[in-house]
Formats: sequence, C-alpha cells, structure tokens
Amino acid sequence: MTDNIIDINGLNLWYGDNQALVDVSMPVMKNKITALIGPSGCGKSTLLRCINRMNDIIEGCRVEGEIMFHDRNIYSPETDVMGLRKKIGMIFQKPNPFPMSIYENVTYGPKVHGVNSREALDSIVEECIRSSALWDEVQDRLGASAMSLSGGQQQRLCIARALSVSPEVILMDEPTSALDPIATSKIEDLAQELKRDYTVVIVTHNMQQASRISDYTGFMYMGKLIECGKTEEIFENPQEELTERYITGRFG
Amino acid sequence: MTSRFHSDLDALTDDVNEMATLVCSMLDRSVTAFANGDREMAEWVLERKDEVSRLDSLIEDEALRLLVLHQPMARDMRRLATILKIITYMERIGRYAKNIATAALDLMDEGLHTPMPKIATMGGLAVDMVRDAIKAFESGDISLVRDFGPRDDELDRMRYDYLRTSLEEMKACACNVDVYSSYLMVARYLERCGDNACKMAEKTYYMVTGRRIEIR
Ligand SMILES: Nc1ncnc2c1ncn2[C@@H]1O[C@H](COP(=O)(O)OP(=O)(O)OP(=O)(O)O)[C@@H](O)[C@H]1O
Ligand SMILES: [Mg+2]
Repeated sequence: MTDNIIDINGLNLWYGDNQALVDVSMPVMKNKITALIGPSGCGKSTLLRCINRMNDIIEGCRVEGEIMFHDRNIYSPETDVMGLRKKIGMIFQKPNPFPMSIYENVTYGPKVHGVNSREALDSIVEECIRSSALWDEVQDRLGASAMSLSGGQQQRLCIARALSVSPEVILMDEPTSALDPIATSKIEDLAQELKRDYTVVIVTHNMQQASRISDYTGFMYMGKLIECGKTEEIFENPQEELTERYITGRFG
Repeated sequence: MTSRFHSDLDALTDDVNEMATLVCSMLDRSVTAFANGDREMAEWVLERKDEVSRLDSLIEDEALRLLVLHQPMARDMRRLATILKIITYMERIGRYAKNIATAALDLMDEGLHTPMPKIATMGGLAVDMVRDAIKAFESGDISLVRDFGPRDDELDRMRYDYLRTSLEEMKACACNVDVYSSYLMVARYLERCGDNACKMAEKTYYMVTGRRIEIR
C-alpha cells in the first residue's frame, strides 16, 4: 500500500523579512524514503523542520499554508506539538546523544511519555537498538556512556532513540555527512530497513546517496520546490532544466 | 561553468565522432571496392581495421573511467551509457566493412570480379543510415532517424531480392556460384549494418530524450 502520509500544500515561510520557502507543495508517501536535494541555503532543512514544527522555536519565523498529516493540518491551533514530535521524529547532521548511558538514551523518551516498568523499558531498548542495527555492537555495554561510542554508532543510537517513542515518520537532516563510508552505508541500509515500518524524509547533499536509497526525490532551489518525482526519473531524465543542471554539476 | 568532468566528456565525444567518421568511410569505400572491383580502396579499408579497435578500447576505457570517478547523472549518464553501447555497434559496422573489402579482394584475386552496380544501391542505403545515425548522435537532432523503420525494411527487402536472383543465377550455371555467394554475403553484411544503425539510433534517441524506443 502506498499513499500519502503527509501532504504539504502551498507552504510559505519567512524568517523575519526573508522568505525561505515559497509556495511549496508536495506529498510524502507512506513507507517510502523521500530525499530532498538542492544547493546550500535553498531551504531543505527549513522544509524538513516544518514537518514536525521545529521552526516554532525560532524567533521571527512565520508560516503560511498547510501540512496535512492524517487529514489534519499540523499548523492548526489545536495541534498538540509534543504529540506531533512523538509521531514525527528528527535525526540531525551531527549525532547528538544525551550525555547519559546508552540504555538511558533510549528510555528517555518512553519515560517522558509515561512508560515506567523495567520490563517494558528493557524490551523497548532491545527492540529499538536492534532496529537501528546497533545491538550486536552494544548489547554487552548498555550501561556505558553514549559518548564512548564512535560517530557512526552514536548516529545509530540517535535513530534508536527516535524509534523509542514509536514514531510514524523519521526526518533526517544530512544524517551521514559526519560519517565515514562504512558508517554511512550502515545508516543507508538502516534507512532501507526502516521504511518497512516507518516513512523517512532525508535531506542530503550527496546525490549518489539520494539516488541509492530514496524512492522519491524533491529538488529545491531558492525556497521553491522545482521538481519532485520518482527517484529514477529525477536522476535519469529530469524534466526541469534547473534540476538537470544541478544534478549534472553544471550549476553556478 | 565547465568542470574537468565536462571537458573530459566533450573530449570523449570527439573521439566517438572520430571513430564514427572512420567507420562510415570504411563502409562507404568497401561498397565501392566491391561494386567496382577497386583493389586500392579495399586495401585502404583493411588498413583501418586496427585503428577502429584502438579507438574502441580507448573510448571504452575512458567512458568507464568517467563513470567510476564521477558517477554522472541525467544527461551526462545517458551520454556515457549511449557511448558505451554505440561503439560496439560501430565496431561491428567496421568489421562488416572489412569483410566486404575482403570479399572484394578474394573475387579480384581469383579473377572473378564482375561489376555489380546493384549492390552499390543497397550499399548506398546502408551507408546513408549509418551516416544519419552518426549525425544524430553528433548533433542531437533525432529527426534524422525518424524514418529508420521503413529504411531498414527496404534493406531487408533488397536482401531477399538479391537472395532470389542469386539463387536463380546459381541454378542457371555452377560457374556463378563463387560470385553470387559472395554477393549474397555482402548483401547480408549490409543488411546487418542497417540493423546496427537502427541500434545506434535507438540509443541516441534515449540519450537525447531520456525515453526508450524500439525501431526494429
Ligand atoms: N534560524 C534561522 N534564522 C534566520 N534565517 C534562517 C534560519 N535558518 C535558516 N535561515 C535561512 O533560510 C534559508 C534556508 O536555509 P536552510 O537552512 O533551510 O537551507 P538548507 O537548504 O538546509 O542549506 P544547507 O544545505 O546549507 O543545510 C537560508 O537563506 C538561511 O539563511
Ligand atoms: Mg540544511
């Protein structure tokens, strides 16, 4: 089954007087990986942050338009923003584990949301760390500090942490740009695994990464979504000249 | 902005055009050699054989190098994929030209050569198709290959025509067997050249439009 889990409609965003998103509309397909590509400053992170309302905390940021998630506009005043961020998690460019044990990183979210029994927490930890393909590497040292992990392991722990509150959508902002090729390919494989149960939206500067792992790709330029479609089509035969020039490196 | 990659890709395209021009003149001259019994022309064709192989491997190596190093996308990827395919078709056309030239020399060596203007007509059609396929690749003008279906059918039709007349001549006198069997072989090579021109046209169409078609 593939259908839209999210529909972005006519989204405009300003940081003060500076318009960073211009009339962006696109669907996000359920259980698929959608990649956002485009030159630096085109608005990829801004768009990604809109999807779980992370822009709310930025002073002077104003949003118009709607993002439909389960047939409700997440920008309507009734939205429970905490609840929304539980359903739509975010992974950042730089791994940012909490300065606690591996175990506590994963139980933090469930505890906040009221899970307290040791058994329940244990099973969440095992399930999420297995899902993030880190279990074999850390099962013997769950009590160790998350800071003792390598960068690639930390990033997978952050993914386990995001999974711990049972999200539906995972947003990733350049999740592998600080990682070496091996750690990168682990995260890429993981993203492929995750799409069975989750929907992934990933921002990347690496065109090969976008083409390797995503099902749909959107190309942004100066706050606009120029073209969005099936990944093979975007990379084999894009319809817009701007997209063509960007992905063939004829920009600038 | 021209990156290193794009100037390398342009240089590679120049090599492909050079190979194309060479293969096309080889085919053209082999037909003349066979039709007119022109020994010098036949030898000219045979002497170019190694040059075709050299360009074929040089282009293939460079195309693979660019693919690996730059992992190109979209138009650039389609151009490299097209180059990798069409050099194979061009190499085959070069080989048919060589076979036709060899057939011409064999007949001349045995003193059997008789002028064969009819094969020149078929050869002309095949050479024109190869030339247009090459021009389409060079210029990106795919209207040049729009009528390749019917042109290829015409080559097929001529080949069967020759088959029929040749069989009649061979039946009429066993003395005709050597000449007409080599005539038949050449007709077959020319028909295959048309097929390869169609393949080149299909790949070029993909390179230009991103869509695939099948001509035959
Ligand atoms: N917190 C902020 N306050 C003000 N302006 C911002 C803020 N964040 C981003 N912008 C501006 O919005 C525009 C889009 O930025 P954004 O970070 O979304 O781009 P991006 O496509 O993610 O770029 P990059 O590839 O470099 O990460 C830029 O002009 C940027 O300067
Ligand atoms: Mg960004």
